[in-house]
Amino acid sequence: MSIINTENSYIKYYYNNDPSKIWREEGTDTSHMSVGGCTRKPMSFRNECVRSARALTSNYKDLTIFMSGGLDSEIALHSFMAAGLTPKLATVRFPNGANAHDINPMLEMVREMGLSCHIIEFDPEEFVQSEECYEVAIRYQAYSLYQQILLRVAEDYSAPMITIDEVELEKAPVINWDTGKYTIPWMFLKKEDQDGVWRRFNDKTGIPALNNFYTYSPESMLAFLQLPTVDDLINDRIFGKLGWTSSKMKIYAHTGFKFRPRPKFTGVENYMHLWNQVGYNVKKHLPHSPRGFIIPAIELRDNLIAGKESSCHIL
Amino acid sequence: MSYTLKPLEFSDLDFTVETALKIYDNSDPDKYPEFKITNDVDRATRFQKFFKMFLIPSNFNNHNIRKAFGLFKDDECICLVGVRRWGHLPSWSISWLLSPSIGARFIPIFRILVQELCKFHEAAGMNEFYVTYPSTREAAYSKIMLPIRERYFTFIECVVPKNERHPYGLIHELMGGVLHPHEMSFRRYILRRENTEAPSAGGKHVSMAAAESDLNARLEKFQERQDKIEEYKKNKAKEKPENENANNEAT
Repeated sequence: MSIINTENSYIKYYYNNDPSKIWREEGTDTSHMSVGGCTRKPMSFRNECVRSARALTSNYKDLTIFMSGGLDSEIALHSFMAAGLTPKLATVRFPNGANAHDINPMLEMVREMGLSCHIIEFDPEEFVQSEECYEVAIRYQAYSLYQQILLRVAEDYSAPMITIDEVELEKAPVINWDTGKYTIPWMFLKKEDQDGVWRRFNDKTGIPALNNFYTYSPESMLAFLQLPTVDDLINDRIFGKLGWTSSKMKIYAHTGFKFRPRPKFTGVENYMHLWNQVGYNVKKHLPHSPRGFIIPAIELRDNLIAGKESSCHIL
Repeated sequence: MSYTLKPLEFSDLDFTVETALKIYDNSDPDKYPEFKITNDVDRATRFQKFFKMFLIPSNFNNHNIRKAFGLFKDDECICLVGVRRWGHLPSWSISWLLSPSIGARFIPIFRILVQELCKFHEAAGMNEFYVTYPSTREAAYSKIMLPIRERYFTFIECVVPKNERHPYGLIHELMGGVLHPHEMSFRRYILRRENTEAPSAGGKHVSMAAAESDLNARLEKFQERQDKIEEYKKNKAKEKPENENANNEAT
């Protein structure tokens, strides 16, 4: 049975205009992403999250949420609970409390909710110095240390799991190099590394390791884009913003779920030396640079409403 | 005699590859480094993949960051050129040039080509370009490009020794990301503009009045934008009680 990443596979990543080709062979391969349109009117964003939680659990009964310590996974957990589901939880802990600042408050919250969280011990230092990270990089065409760690953990975990994505929005310049005219629109962003890599992992291992929660269905994505704060953001009515992350708490507040305000952590703050080391050396193992897919947010929203497909092609 | 610089399309790919094959068949294979473009052994396939990057269909993101042009004398294509545009600042560079070996007759053609490319890119606000070439060609190269100096400052930024990688990323990329079997020169051209002379040559600083009028124009634009946002917020706030009243009436 094929793995269900998104509802009706409405998000696709592929190469050379061939939807069955999910592995990149050469630098000259073209990369493609398509996002299908809505087939129904979306509910509120909160209700869409609850619906996604139900749909994912219906697809994979024993689904484990990989908790990062961040807001995205916390809101996802609240959505599962609001759906009357008690998901399995897991998190990755680094030696000597290196990511305690990120995961401990989450573990505390989980305890208060009466849940338990399986802790997976992992040593990034050993993973990099043994060069195992590059084997993982080659195995799945994974470019960043963060993804390599998650993929290695997912191999051992070997059960249905989900790392929580986000509807990433960023203001990015679009230049017409022939005329010099440019715009800096808000873009919906997905990455060959962060997103496409899980499709390759599924293909190679057969393990249903998912990464689409907020983008599980076209309707959940549209409900997000229609939130008042997101609408203000993508129409440039909040001054001085280049990305969505600094408005994340305001955006997720629309769900009505209670969460603790917190500073933004990546969880790998104590491993930036490794991050840079891998970023530099991975080029010896993977000859291509990872590509980012972008679709103008307003165009995407309008296409979702109209039930039309949006696409992004890159060379 | 009229020359025209025409942008090429994806449909020109086969023609470009055929031209390249003909030219490379007559060139010394040891003259160029091995550019690692694809894993293919067959030259035609390699060329297909390489030139495709300069002829990308317009539904691709950033489709014209690389672009191929043909210089036509009436209907006859005299030479083909590929350019790369750069995102770090408005600039471009010559990536490749395909022309049959015609000796000194090539000099005026090349001058027209560069002049047309400059015109095209200046109209798009790109006032700087880069070229790289084997250092042994310096005399010929500086002669052929002499007329360009009327409008552009130029200088050799650096020479990359043979079989060495330049530490700066942009320069390495301009070298095609490979090591060359001979020394390579990296030359910059920057469009001359007003008031760039040294004080000893009559250069003057920007007057307070000119600087302030520029600043005021920018501030006005900023204020216009703020006013628009305020107006939107006011309208939104006005809509809210009206909607609430309508809801109350409905219940």
